[in-house]
Amino acid sequence: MIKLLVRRSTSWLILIVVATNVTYLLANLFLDPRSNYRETRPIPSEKQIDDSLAAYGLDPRVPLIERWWSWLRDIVLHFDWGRSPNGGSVNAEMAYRTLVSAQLVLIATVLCVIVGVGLGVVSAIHQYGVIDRVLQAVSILLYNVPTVVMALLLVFGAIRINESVGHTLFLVAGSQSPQVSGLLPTIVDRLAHLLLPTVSLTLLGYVGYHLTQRSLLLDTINADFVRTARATGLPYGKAIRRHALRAALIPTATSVAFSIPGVFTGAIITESIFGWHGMGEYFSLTLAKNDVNGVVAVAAFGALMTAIGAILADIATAFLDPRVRLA
Amino acid sequence: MSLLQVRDLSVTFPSEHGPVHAVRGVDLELEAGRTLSLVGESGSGKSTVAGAIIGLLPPSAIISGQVLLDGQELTGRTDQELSRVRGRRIGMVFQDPLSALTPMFSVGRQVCDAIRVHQNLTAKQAWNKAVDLLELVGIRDPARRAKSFPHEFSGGMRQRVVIAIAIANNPDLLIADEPTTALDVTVQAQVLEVLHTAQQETGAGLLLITHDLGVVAGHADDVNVMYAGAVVEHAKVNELFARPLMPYTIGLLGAVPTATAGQRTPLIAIPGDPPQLHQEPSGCPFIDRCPAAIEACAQAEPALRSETSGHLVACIRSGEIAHDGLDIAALYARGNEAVEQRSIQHGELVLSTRRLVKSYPITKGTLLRRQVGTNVAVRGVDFDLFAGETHSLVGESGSGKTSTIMEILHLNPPEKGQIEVLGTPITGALDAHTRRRLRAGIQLVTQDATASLNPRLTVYDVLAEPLQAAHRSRAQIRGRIYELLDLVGLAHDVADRFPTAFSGGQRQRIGIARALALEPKVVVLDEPVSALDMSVQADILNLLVRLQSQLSVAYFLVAHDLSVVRYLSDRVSVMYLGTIVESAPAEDLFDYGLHPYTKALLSASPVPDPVVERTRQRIVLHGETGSEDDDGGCVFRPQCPLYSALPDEMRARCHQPQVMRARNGVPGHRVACHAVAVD
Repeated sequence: MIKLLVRRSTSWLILIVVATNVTYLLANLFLDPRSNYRETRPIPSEKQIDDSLAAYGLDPRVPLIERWWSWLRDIVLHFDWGRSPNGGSVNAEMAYRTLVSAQLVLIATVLCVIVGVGLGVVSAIHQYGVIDRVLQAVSILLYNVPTVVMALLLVFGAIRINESVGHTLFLVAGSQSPQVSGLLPTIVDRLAHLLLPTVSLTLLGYVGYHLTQRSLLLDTINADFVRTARATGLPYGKAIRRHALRAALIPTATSVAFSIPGVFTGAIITESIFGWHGMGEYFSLTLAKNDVNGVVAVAAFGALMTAIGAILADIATAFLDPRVRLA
Repeated sequence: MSLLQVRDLSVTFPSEHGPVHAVRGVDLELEAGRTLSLVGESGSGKSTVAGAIIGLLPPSAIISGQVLLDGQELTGRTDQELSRVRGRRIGMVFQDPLSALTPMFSVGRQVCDAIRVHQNLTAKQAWNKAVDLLELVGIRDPARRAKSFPHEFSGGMRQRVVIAIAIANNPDLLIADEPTTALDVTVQAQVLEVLHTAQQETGAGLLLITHDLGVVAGHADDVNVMYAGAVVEHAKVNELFARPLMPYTIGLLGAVPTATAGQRTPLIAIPGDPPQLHQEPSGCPFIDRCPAAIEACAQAEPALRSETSGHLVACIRSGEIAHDGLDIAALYARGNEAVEQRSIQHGELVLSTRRLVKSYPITKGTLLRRQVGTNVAVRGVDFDLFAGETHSLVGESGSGKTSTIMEILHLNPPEKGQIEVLGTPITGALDAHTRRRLRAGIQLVTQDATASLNPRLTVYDVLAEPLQAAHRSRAQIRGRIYELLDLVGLAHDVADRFPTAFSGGQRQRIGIARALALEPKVVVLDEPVSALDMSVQADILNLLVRLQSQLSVAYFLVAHDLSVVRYLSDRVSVMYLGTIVESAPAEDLFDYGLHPYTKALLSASPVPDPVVERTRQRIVLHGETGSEDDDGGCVFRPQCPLYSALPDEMRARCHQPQVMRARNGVPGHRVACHAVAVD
């Protein structure tokens, strides 16, 4: 098992390195940092622009291969991912935004999986019953609500409630309040800020797990081995949890693991509506601002998340299905 | 008080065509330590009875009546309450061992879990107990094998594990629902023995559900025959087989080919199909198929009542049958008018193989496939088929029967050895004309008629296809199709119907008609009746016998049911692990089989006669097929009962290639064993 993980990690590492370097070359070909400066007034001369870019390793006059080499050397030797065209440190930006996104996305993902799988099990057990039909109807409705609509509805609803109770019950913007200090108040403040965006992400994210888990479980719920388990004296619910669900969870585990990179960079709309400055926003900003180094860092981050997701999927599969360990 | 009492049990399932009355007023009684058999054809409701007793029917089932275990009512209890009874007081063995075990858990863990549901043991204690149980059911090296996963076990081994799970908590009642239907005969014998041991070990009552009258004859104390959801006859096993009273039972017993009745004698074929149970029948449910039906039979459904002591029957004419000499068996239409007895004349050779070899590569890896080994399915088979005769290939799954027929039917040069079809040796690629001629000359009837008929083609189109492929004119095709329908006994107006409109037996008739369309010299019959119910099976066997005597076609039969093989064959070859170990005229092989594997196979095949079944010596093989490395010696050696008893220098010869030896005085009887006497 350890050997397998080491082997997998090595091959993923190679993949990340290749993907990141290819992104670096592509980003340099398609993004033009100089255009940022042309919008400033007074318009600087080309030489002035290039000179200021040179300080950040983005000088277009230097051959690409040389820029690439120094970029790579900085990463390998100092883990320095470079600067944006206006001189901001990519490292600092990434560190801050990773934390912000992680709070938002990890809690929401965990909730999505728990709610989705749980409802999937309930739905499957009561297939075609009232409960199943109601749950499915709700899920299909939510499935068709665009993120913007959901987030805005939550914001409006929260504001209405705040107005009617007369003080701020729900916080609708930002990830933290500026003047909070002390450990406990900070945690409470963070959680209060997290509430609405997490609800929004969960309501929209659980649906997929609910519907797929329902049909996956239905495939195994009537399997002969579940009947055997019941014949040994396991009650229906227990037989399903121990035998049917375990088999039906394997595809879900894989899909959760591979959704991690997507949720980190994909929560753009939720982040912007609730005023969170996370990875999603950074991804679109770096692209818009021709921030070559930022784009590459985001891509590398995505690749790393994919690798982590894949390895987690391997571990989860091996945990759920012990036969895999033999392979 | 009886261990199990079932009183007036009825089960109804809702369906799109209205409620289905699957079980209608069944009474059962089983004492501890005894075996009660429920026997019937598919759809008779026997498995539903088992499901109702153990409480594992789908929630949509509507159950009425009583199930009493030691006087305690089980019907109407909640799943929670029943789960304390299941496993602890009632153990169950299911039909398909391949899917009955959870694939993700080791077999030891599954036995362990079954123990710990009801017993308060530590994991260690339960594991040790599980290992003991696995040993009891005959798993060798149980401490190590307990850690294996189900996919590492063969079907027979998995069924042993299922039995171990069923008896894990010493239940008082064991229910076995078709426990050996999915298994080979020698494995069936092993598993039935294990079940018997388990029953003795626990002193449990056994409810044995099966369609196989041979299994009933060998293992049941009392028998209930079910038809259309009701018990139609109940008696002690000897009484039932000696003096059946219900016309249905009499028909069933006459439908099974037996050694004593002789070869090719017409079998009883019960006409028609069992009724659909969408409404409760108003008269006797068997009325449409019964040769002795009279007007009174339509008045009301006959109740089960005692005719002679301990013999219950649901037939208003049972008195006449029991006492007044009403001979039901004689009333049944025997399928065949007079079938002339044929002697094997060695006519022209229509099919032969010499040292035929077929192997499959075993590959590994998904992206870069590499061959890691070779699975030799057919190892040098010599097989001859003469015009107009039936030559059967018998053997268990994995013995290479199907590989052999497929190698021949491909009409391609074999990997090694020679194939000759209709006098044409198949060496290089055949030209189109020869290929078409040979294809027309050798045709196939498959096991699963349903799967072999395209559901979107009418019977007319199905039968027209081979004729079109042979470039017949439209008028010829039309004429031939109606000839074919006459030949297999189907009405002309079925031609424009689709296969779904037919019952299993009728579909197999269509399959046979298609095979005969081009007037082949050879028809390969690959398990032609194994998917059919007993009464229908007899009908098809009668048809095959009649067609052969009418058309002088040669049959190459592949089957695992030895009674069917004996009934149809002139010559039989026994195959084991890709090798023919014995070949002989049919009667000779069945009466004087020489090879130890032949003997084991014959003794394992159940006979529907309780007296024979309980007195004969049974050879139960141990171990599994092909469990040792191949050194070119006898392939049967690892399982051979003779091998260990042989003196050393004889045993050494088992490790050398075996040559076919002729049996003295019997032309054509050859056996591949050096250790048996051939005179």
